Amino acid sequence: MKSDFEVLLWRRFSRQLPPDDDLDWRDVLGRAGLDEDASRGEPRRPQRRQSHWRPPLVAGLVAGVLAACASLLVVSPWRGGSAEAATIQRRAAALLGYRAGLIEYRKVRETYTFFARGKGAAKARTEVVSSESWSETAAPFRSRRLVSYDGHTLESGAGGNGCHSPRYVFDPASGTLYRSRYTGVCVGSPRPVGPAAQVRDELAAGALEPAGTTTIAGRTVYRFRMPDSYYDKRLRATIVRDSTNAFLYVDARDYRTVRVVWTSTSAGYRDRLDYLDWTYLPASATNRALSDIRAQHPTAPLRPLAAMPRDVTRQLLQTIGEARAPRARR
Amino acid sequence: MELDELERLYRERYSIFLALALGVCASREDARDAVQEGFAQAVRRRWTYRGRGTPEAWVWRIVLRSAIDDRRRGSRHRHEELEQDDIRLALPYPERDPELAEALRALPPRRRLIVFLRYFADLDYEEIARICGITSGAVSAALSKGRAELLTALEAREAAGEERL
Repeated sequence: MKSDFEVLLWRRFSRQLPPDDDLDWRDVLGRAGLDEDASRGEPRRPQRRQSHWRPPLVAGLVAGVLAACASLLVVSPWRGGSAEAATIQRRAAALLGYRAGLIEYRKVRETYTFFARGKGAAKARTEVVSSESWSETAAPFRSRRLVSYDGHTLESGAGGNGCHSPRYVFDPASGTLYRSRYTGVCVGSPRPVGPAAQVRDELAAGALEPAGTTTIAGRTVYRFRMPDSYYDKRLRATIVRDSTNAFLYVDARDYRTVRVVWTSTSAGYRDRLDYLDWTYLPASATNRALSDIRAQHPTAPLRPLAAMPRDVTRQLLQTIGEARAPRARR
Repeated sequence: MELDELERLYRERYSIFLALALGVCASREDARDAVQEGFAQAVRRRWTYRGRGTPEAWVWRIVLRSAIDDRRRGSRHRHEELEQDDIRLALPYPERDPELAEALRALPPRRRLIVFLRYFADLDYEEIARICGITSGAVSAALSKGRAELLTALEAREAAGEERL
């Protein structure tokens, strides 16, 4: 886990990145004595290695691997030995690892289920919130987010990731951008917080506990038990002490993180995040504009958030806010 | 290692490789040449990657060696061996963060390299250990000292009332 100072250092280093407008893979291939067309059709292994093949040994190894796979399928779905679990997490983390100079894109469907006390799952209420976000991973670290709930969409953005960076909310009815600026003492951690940060950190640490396999949307996924730190901290700060069971699911085919589920053991809710897409986009002008709310609305007048009419505030912020703060409604 | 994997690493991390090479080489042209040549070597030698450590750490070691060789070629003391301890890494754009540039200059060369690999290249301890040929415990110790020295230096500048980022 990175300390605040480490994140600060990492950020300051990221300001030193040069432009990558002169990258030239063809030049690399040319220097290596390959041309791009030839490299596409090249064998997966060099010819000289084929002379070292030992057919009986290879056949034995293949048979052994197939037998092991078959036994796993028949006897047990996946017991997740520590080495195997670590490998899966490393591969999943490699897909999500923070990459400076790109645009991080996430598309998430968040499903909250609230269980009425003593009335079982039949009386449960479900809320679904969808979101898309684009975040620059290099200065100036702008980000933009669309959150949709119950027919309403909230578009918000930030001019940077520091606590003094301006925050924006767009009101589509009046075509106005409202800006807020943090005016308190800047003591917050610069480290990103939230479920995505927790998923990234814990996969990178590679220490999640394997918990078998299951199927999501017809695809086999590995299941890992997570520490409940994200919700634990959030809940401790807001209501009574609570604890959650948290599980993370990684696609067995391509190692993409597909789902995280937090289930409260006492407060009666479940929060499920389905990661429909989580990737890094090239920092093209178009993609950079997607992370910049002001570029999305270049002609929108800019007004301070304090000037936002109360009914607009209620419609834009509270609707979303209520869905995202379930315990306040119960 | 597959060629596709190298190409993806090159396209996604080019600017970081270039930034570190800029910190070693005398000019941007030299730095770019070091990165291109480093990746070309990685392409040529990709079958020798045995899966020990991450592919990225393996490529980093090659590119860093390429940058060191490049600087050695440009050095007046080319007959002398330039080892990692001799690398005088500097921020590529010190004018963007003069406080950090000065604080880094005060670090011993090896510790500075480890700090760069950790916070510039975002490599983990094992990867840095493989690149530098030391143990991950030594990496941890160097980073701990490096962080403490940087924090002290940056706080001292801040306390002196100089420009705050």
